[in-house]
Amino acid sequence: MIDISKTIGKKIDKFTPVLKAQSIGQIISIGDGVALIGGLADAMMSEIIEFPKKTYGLVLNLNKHTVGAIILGSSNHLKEGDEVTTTGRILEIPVGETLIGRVLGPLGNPLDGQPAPKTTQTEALEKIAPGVITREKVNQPVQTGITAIDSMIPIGRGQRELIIGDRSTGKSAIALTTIINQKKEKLICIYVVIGQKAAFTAQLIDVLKKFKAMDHTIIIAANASDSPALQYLAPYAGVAIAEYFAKQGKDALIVYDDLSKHAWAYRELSLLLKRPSGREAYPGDVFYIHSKLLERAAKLNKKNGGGSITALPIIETQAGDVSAYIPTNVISITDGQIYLEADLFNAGVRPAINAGLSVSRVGGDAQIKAMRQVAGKLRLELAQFRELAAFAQFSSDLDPITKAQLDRGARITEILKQDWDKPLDIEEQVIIIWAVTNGYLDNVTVEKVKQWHQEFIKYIFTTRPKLKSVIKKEKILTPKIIKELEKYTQKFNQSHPQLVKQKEEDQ
Amino acid sequence: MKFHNKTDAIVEGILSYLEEKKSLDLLPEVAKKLSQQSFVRIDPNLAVVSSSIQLNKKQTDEIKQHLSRYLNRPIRIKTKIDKSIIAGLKIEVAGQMIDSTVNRRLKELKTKVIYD
Repeated sequence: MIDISKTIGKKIDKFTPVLKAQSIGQIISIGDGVALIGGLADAMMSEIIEFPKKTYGLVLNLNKHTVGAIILGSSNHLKEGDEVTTTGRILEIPVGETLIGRVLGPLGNPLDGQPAPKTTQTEALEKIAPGVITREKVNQPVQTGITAIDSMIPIGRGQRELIIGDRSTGKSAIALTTIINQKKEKLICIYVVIGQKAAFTAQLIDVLKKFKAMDHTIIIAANASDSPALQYLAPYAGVAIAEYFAKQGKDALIVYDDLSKHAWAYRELSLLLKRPSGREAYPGDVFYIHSKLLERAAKLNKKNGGGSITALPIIETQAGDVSAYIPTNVISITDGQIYLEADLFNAGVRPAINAGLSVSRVGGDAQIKAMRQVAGKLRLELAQFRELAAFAQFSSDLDPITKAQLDRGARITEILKQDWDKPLDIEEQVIIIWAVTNGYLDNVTVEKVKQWHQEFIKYIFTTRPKLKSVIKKEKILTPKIIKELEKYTQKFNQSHPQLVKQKEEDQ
Repeated sequence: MKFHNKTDAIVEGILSYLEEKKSLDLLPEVAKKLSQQSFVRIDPNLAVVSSSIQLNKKQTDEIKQHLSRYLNRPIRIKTKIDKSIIAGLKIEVAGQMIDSTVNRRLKELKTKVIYD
């Protein structure tokens, strides 16, 4: 009891009233997390305003005599006629190394039950993206650990690669595998959860903890039950944190899961603020909210620290319709997309990447040479195979060339299948793609490809333990390495007759 | 008193008009618009000074002078007596507020003790 009165006494002692002229206004109407305020003649766009009981709001509309604002947090205690004052501040989030491993709300409040992280700096949520002078070409890869992506749709540090697909086609899984694979890569990952079920966030934390990936990850969560204002702000909070790390010359990876829900939240706010609506009832600036966000992903040049922000936005399509409003917007903003298909997913091809429709516009430059060497024609071959396979369903007689192409395609597809929780090293990917594209698996039945893959990798890295480090060092398959690979692959096939069917059976 | 009658007449007029048009349900909308208009009709040259006791001529003149200098234009003053502010002055002018009342300080202290 004494302690409480002492603390209160101390607080009262410390209190010094400040006298200043304040701009004031009154709430005219309030509801659904949006307030219309009269007065506040000095209010600025994106300024923080203060409501009673330390509740804050963000100015989004400046009308002739009124101000439209969204309320950050609970608004249950606010009513018409309440006094509102300006603060002269813009929205900021506390940033620092201590954020790593934490789960935070879009305003920096901890959601993991631990005390707020100790920080000394803040970053503004809204900021103009880095200009032309400070940028550099993407030249370093992000290793996702997913063979299909690292080989055919390579992602570079500073790139924006969209992950797009219907519900439950493994979109989040791709982002998750990528984060799990960054343990050794010195890439700080930020996962922004927008409008998802709270259970999804809880599961995400569990999975990342299980793989010890929380040691380099920050989660910013605005769940479905949070106000649309918070859902709208979450990605900007995430990128502000990423900018803090990029400024120090570090590399950051940010996942926005997902931007469709972000657009929904913004549509909700805009309609409540009575802004004119356009196509699909989205406001006119729905393109801009995504372009200004994704433009903040950048590879900075040496002069500016050399850091980078790689963005992996996720978009959920409805019934595979990529030509809807938000998907086309984000496709046009990003540097390529990974297109996931429900049909492939249901056919057991996981990750369900459609090789024909997926592209990476800048990542090729960042790919390591060895991978470029072996994966050169992989995408084309696979896309051709998918088309051919569809066509071949109708005919029984196939010429030997077509049949060989189909067989090879089936094996490539098999090699690219991968569980989400098993990211592969780039060296392993290079060796396995080399083997399949050079026909060393042509005599392996499709069902046994997976087993061959596992046994071969075990075999080659136990018999030639140095191979991994050599490929890593050289970053290219030299004729010497290729010769060695040829020798050992032939040896492996000879010594594992149970995996490789005989030529006679083939006829 | 004369003003009072005028207001009554206006209100009566509006009500009978709405009744005639069978649109009395629009009354809340009208009230909302009017309250919005009240913010529009703020006279930028009129300062409302609230105090707990009646201010004398010298005091109001001094306030008038200070405000005119601060805002760079001649300011008129309307005084108001509000016992709830306990002591000090509250000046509202052109959408801005200078509040040095004891009531305000107590309120600030309360939020500080509760939320900080």
